Amino acid sequence: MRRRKASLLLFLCIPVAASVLGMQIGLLWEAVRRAGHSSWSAALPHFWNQTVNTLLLTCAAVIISLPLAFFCGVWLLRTRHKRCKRMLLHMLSALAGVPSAVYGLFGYLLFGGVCALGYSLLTGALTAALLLLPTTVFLLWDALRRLGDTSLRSALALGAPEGRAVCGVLLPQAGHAIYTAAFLAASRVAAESAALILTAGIGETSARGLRRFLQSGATLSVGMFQSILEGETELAFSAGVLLLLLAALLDALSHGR
Amino acid sequence: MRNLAVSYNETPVLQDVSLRIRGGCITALIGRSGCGKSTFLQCLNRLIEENGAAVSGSILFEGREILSPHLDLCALRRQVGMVFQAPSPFEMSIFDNVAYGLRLHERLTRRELRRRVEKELRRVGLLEEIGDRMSANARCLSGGQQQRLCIARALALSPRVLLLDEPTAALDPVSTVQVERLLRGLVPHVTVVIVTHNLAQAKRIAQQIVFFGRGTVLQIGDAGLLDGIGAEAALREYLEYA
Amino acid sequence: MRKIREALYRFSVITAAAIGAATLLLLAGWMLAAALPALRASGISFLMSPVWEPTRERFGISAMLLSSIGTALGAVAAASPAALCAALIFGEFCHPAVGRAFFALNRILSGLPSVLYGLIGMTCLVPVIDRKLYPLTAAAGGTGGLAVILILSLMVLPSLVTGYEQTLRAVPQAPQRASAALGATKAQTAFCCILPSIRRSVRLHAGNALRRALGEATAVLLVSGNVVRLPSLFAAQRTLAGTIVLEMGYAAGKHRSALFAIGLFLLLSTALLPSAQGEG
Repeated sequence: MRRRKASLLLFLCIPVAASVLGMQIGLLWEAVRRAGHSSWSAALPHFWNQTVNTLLLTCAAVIISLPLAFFCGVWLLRTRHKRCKRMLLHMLSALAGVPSAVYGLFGYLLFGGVCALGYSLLTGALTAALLLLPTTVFLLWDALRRLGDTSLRSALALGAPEGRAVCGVLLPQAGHAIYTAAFLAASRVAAESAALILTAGIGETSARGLRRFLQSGATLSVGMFQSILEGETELAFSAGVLLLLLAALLDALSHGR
Repeated sequence: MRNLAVSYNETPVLQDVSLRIRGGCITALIGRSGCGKSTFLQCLNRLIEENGAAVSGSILFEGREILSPHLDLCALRRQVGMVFQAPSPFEMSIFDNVAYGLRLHERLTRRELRRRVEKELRRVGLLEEIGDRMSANARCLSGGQQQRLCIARALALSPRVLLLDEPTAALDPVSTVQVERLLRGLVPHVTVVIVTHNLAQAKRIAQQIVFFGRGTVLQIGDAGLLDGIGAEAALREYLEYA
Repeated sequence: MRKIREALYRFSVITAAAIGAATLLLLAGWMLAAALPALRASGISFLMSPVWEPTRERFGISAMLLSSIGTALGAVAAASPAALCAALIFGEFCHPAVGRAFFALNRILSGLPSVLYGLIGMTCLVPVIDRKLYPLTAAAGGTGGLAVILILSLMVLPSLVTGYEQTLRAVPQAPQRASAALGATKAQTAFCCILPSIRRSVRLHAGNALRRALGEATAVLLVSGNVVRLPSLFAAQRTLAGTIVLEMGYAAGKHRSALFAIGLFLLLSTALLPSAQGEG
């Protein structure tokens, strides 16, 4: 490619890149601008409830799905059955792309129906854990593969039984990857709406402590959707700004190590 | 061992390997890349199966068959230690690295543990260099120090046999000399089997030389072999490159 | 003691893998079972007919299908090159601090709920479209295909940018240096050496974005107008995922079954698209 042609192409890319940035900044600007000030005092208890629901549900979903994903990754790493491994990889790959609405349907059927949990935060958390599973498995499996090979072999060569080698040597080394994956998962759950509408429902939780899990409640993003349908766009934008701050916080924390 | 055969996915890597490794001395395995030396080494502590290879034949260690499916692998690996080519310290403190094997297999008091760790570090010459930093992360050591740490880690269990897969390939000359000196000091208590590409190194430290080629053992002899005495054709060809 | 620990470990590992496998099987199986009544009643017209009238038990998804496909394709076709340009420029051709800020911004944006994008679309974009393109948008007031495409592209942009950033960072340094050593300018290296080598990755990330766009429900509902009809840029329409979320609340009997059939269909179609993760 001629030097001039390449430079010209580059020149053309610049406005595209700039407009991408511009649009994104514009998006944030609009969102912040339209966040409501008028109804703060009335809205605060709703926000508080939704925030609590969001935090509880997110933590529960991450706590459930991380160990599951880790051990699944370990299986992928250590198994000798090549065909089973390939099959599982295909399955997880398919699962990773399933729309969250479908997960919502499934979660409602399985956890809400069969496990008789109905619409509740717990149903939502379990569904979210399943939602997170494929992507987290791939993240962790990739990290385990890249980090662990020689160390794991050294541990095995010292006579460590497999479980001990994995949990004692591989797990600490994957610590950083697990940490990052946890925050990635958390931000995904916090932003999830479709699946949670169908499982955790809408409304407010009223119980204290862990009992909340058995009640249906809206998280911040579901609450946003609700507000919009009721016409309260100001509230919705406010919730949006809150979620933006949450996402920024999670991103900052994930680089903390 | 007798008639050892190893294959990966139906592709034979080692065939018809039969040899006897002399106890209490250093045996060097030499040969071109890819002729199965590392594979052979990993058969001796049955780490080869981690790669999905199929092993057939028989290996006798102190009169017992290693390849039997009922063997307790952990006990075997306690007796047969291994050091890999790339230094691979665990993501822990220096002390914990060396103590890892001890904590696995033995119940020691803290004082005894400390004593053993210091003894091993002294043996590899690390105690003077880093004795005051034993709780620092092992990764902050230099390459040569890391490799010596891995050797100390393997030696901590007082294995009868030590397997080394090109241990000095990634080290500078000074560290190499230190490691060689260490290995020479291990015999006759420990049987050492070392894979090496460095013929000069083999000549310096080994008492028994095994020449691999085309997936099988081509010749066995002592260090004199490397001077061309009694070397067969393939070995002579190989020596020309040295 | 050790035996118990080892057994526990083995159990955890196998169970985790089993759960992973079982999820897909259960998901597909269950959806199939729940979807059968509607599928059996409608037959092939489920896929072919554009008429969706739950009250009269006529379930045809072709209109919604076209809408979903059209908007998703449009969104990714617009967003992918833009994201690539942005990742390239901000990654290689500007001050490192600016680049870092840009990518951090995109990481945060990719964690935002899709509802927010729908909201912005509803409150800012739709009125603007309506105003600027007035004669065309008369019927729908700005909602419709164009709005959906714009919103969806905004939505997938951050994750595409993040994905491309990682891809560009992972490109090995050696070929780039070799290219420079041969006298290429930075621009030439970028277009002739780097870009061709990331083709596969670009395809995979775009596939990911496509899957996300196909499955997006809440954002689309807010800007698409929610009328089931054949799609066009300026007429109100509805996508598949949107229908599920919209009607699930009050569906019953065959209607519900039809919604599960849509879910099954979405499951099958997204499963068949290329993914940026499955490649071991």
